[in-house]
Amino acid sequence: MKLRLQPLTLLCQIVMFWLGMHSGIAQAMDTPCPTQQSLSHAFKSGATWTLCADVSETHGLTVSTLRYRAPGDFDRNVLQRMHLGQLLLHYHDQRDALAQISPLSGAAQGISQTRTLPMNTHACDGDIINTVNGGVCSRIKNNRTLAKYAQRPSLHSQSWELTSAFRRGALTWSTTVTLTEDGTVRPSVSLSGRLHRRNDNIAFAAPIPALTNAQPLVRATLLSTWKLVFDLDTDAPDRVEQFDFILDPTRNNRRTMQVSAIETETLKQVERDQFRGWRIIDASGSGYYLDPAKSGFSYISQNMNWAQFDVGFTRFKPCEVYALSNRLLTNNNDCADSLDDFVSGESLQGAQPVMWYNQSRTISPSQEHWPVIADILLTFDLLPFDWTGSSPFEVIE
Amino acid sequence: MSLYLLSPPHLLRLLVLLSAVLSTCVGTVHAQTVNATSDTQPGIQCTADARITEVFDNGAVWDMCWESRIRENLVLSDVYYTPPGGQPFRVLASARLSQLHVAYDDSDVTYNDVTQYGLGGGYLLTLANADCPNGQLLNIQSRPALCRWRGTAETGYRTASRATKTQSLNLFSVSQVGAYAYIIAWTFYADGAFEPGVGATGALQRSSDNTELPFGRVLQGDPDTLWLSHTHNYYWRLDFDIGSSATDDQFSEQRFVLAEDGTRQFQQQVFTTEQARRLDPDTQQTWKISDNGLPNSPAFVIEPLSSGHRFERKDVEPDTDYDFFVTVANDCERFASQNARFNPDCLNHVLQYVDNQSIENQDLVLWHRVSFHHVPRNEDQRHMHTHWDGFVIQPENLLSGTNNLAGQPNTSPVFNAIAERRTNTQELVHENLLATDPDGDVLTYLATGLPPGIRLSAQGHLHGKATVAGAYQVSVSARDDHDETTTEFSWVVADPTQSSKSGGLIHWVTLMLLLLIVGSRLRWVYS
Repeated sequence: MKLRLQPLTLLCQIVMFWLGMHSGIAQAMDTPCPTQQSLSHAFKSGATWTLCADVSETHGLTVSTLRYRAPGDFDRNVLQRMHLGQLLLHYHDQRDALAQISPLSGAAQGISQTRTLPMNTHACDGDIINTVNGGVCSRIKNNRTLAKYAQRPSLHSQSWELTSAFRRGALTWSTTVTLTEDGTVRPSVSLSGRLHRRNDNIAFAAPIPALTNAQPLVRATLLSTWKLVFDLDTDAPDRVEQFDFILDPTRNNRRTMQVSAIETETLKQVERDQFRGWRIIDASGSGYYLDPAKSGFSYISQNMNWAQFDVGFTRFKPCEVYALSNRLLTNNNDCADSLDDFVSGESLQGAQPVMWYNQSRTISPSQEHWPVIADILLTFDLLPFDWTGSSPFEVIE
Repeated sequence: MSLYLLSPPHLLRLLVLLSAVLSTCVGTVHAQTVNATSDTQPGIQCTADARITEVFDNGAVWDMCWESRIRENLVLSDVYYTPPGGQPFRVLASARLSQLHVAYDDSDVTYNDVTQYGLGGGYLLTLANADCPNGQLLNIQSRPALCRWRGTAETGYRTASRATKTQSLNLFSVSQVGAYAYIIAWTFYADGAFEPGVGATGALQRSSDNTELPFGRVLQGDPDTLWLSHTHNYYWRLDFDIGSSATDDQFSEQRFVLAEDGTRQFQQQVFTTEQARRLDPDTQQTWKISDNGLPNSPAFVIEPLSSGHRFERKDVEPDTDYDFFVTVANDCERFASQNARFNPDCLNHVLQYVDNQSIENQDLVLWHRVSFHHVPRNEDQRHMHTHWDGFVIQPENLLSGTNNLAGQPNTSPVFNAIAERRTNTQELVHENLLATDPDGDVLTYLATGLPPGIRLSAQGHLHGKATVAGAYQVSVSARDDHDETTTEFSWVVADPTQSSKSGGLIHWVTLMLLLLIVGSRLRWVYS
């Protein structure tokens, strides 16, 4: 792990620090990052990520004070904090989904109180960073081709992956934040461990052919929710924009780009036919774009309104941490209890925006998931969008 | 000298043998893999330099032929997968990208790159080692143009004590069409999954000097140019031949529908005719092609996970109204659009191929479209970072169990001693059956033979009230991540109400006997 400081970068950082000290904008403040949790990685190109990594007993990996330095650029804030905001698991033969981020029912039912899984050489093929609660697995991975043009040599890049894991009963959940050399932030969560719920009704369950006399295993639908507290670039408040590309069949099927400001707390859905996406943008014009290209499925629920939306935007409030069971989990009855309550029509102007992003998928048991589930992965990309004036990798050549 | 002694057939055989030995040596040196399967494997018909065999650490093998065509570029054929410890299993007769449709938001220009230009031939880029830093370059005709490399998937499995990632074989070549460079990629995973993909890189293609138009963006440093937004629609053509017969595959669609009572109900529709299907995200719809019509036969499943963008312009291109097609294999039906351009006797686009023909006992072809809408950003200039699109095809009931799990060290769970149990009906039972696992794996429990009314939770918690008296032989198993241990115990459930009734009868009979005895003695005394 290297951190290169160039004179210009240092000067910029001093200026940015000064601006930050003298800004009147309220920001989400994190407690200082303990030394063992303060991490950085510098790629060969000079691109660098710095962050604070922690593992919560409640929700697993937390990344905070995330900063990216593009090659030739200086360190700039990206996210104040990111972590899982909830995980729902709906067994198909049940009426309600089970919140996987919720207080455990205790040893009386045979479940150990230990939730986070220790990172060791059997569970991590990278470096083990010994934070509390099991630690974090840190891996450097070669990416596919970053860029290629005609006969010019390809550009290649790497990613830095940070993973922690926890279990809930026999199920294991891995949370990973992947930070690519070109500035992309890729949160992901995957389900593994063992399915054990059984039901004879094949409307809800799938038989495992290899287990001739066993009851079928119940299918389940997942919903993962990431909470992303933005703090882009300068200390000026970030804004939220929605991009839509509206097809007009009456005008030769042209598609008009519509960029609309989201100025109050709201829940939104993916509009596949309009290629809808969302940008968080700083006063400097630098932004990050959430393109839901990997949004395959929607989650339908009869009793949780928020879960039926793909994305939510709220004004930052320290006590609004979990999309469901927030009061219980934060032990704070003065705070709202779910994302439905967080979205109360308050203005986002001048506030630090929080993005809540949902993704869903169904696991249908088969031999490939027996006895241990082959990872069911849910992932998405936050792309730097006008973060730099051009590709910062041109200078490499 | 001895060659003169060989007859022509013998000479030919010797040359073939020498060629095979040479190609095997070259393959070993360059590919760093081992040919696990015999060259005589049925169904694989290509020369050694057109064949790729990848043997993974778990023993799984992907085996296939490849070629580069002028239009489609990479075409894979005779694709076999051998599961760990299993036999070679035929998957595909052929697989290829069958159209690369690009529509600009101003609607002035639409490209069909595969048929208008082609991805092979002169559009194929010669690759240098720098383009394939972690792999090996293979020649297309006489120039290096295909990169083959071993990678690692994002997925595998994780237990409480162990995690692994799945290995992958990656193939790609690059086609330069206009300003765009398309990376035509195929990934084959050690767990039997495979993934067609395209990476779009190069440079932005079209712009306008009217910066007021709402069809694109002006990028930094070039205030007089509007770079136009556009959609890439990738169409893949997959000719499945699953298992031993090419004509017994079955195509179905699965949905998981939320019912009024809150449950989600599985619905499967097996199709008997050609189909064009639309995405249905609300029901978490998937598509499956199975080896045959038998229940739970090996299959491959497509989950449309990368469907956040969906292109539609159905009045002029009616096929864009659909995302997935299944047709009967027909050599005439080669491209998803502009097909008649090369063969006027054939139909023109994939929706026309769907003409209600029966797909029962036919060779089936699946066509899948994935869209990506590209909004220009500063980072796209001058050369774009690759945006990748594709989809994963997952095996179902093809492996015998979780990939990579077999062979891992494990110690089975051990039950604490379970004594014979005696309880009464309607007596509340509320206790744990416990086993321990030396590896620290999480255990789940399952029981058979329990008295009616008693349940065992997956966590080992016995709970309930027995409702029927009797003697029961209970079998309980504790499962760790690899194995399970089973033990048995007897459980007698008595009915206290029956006991008191029978006890009263005994007491009554005893009393009567006593009275009789006393009575008889009294008679004796008085007599």
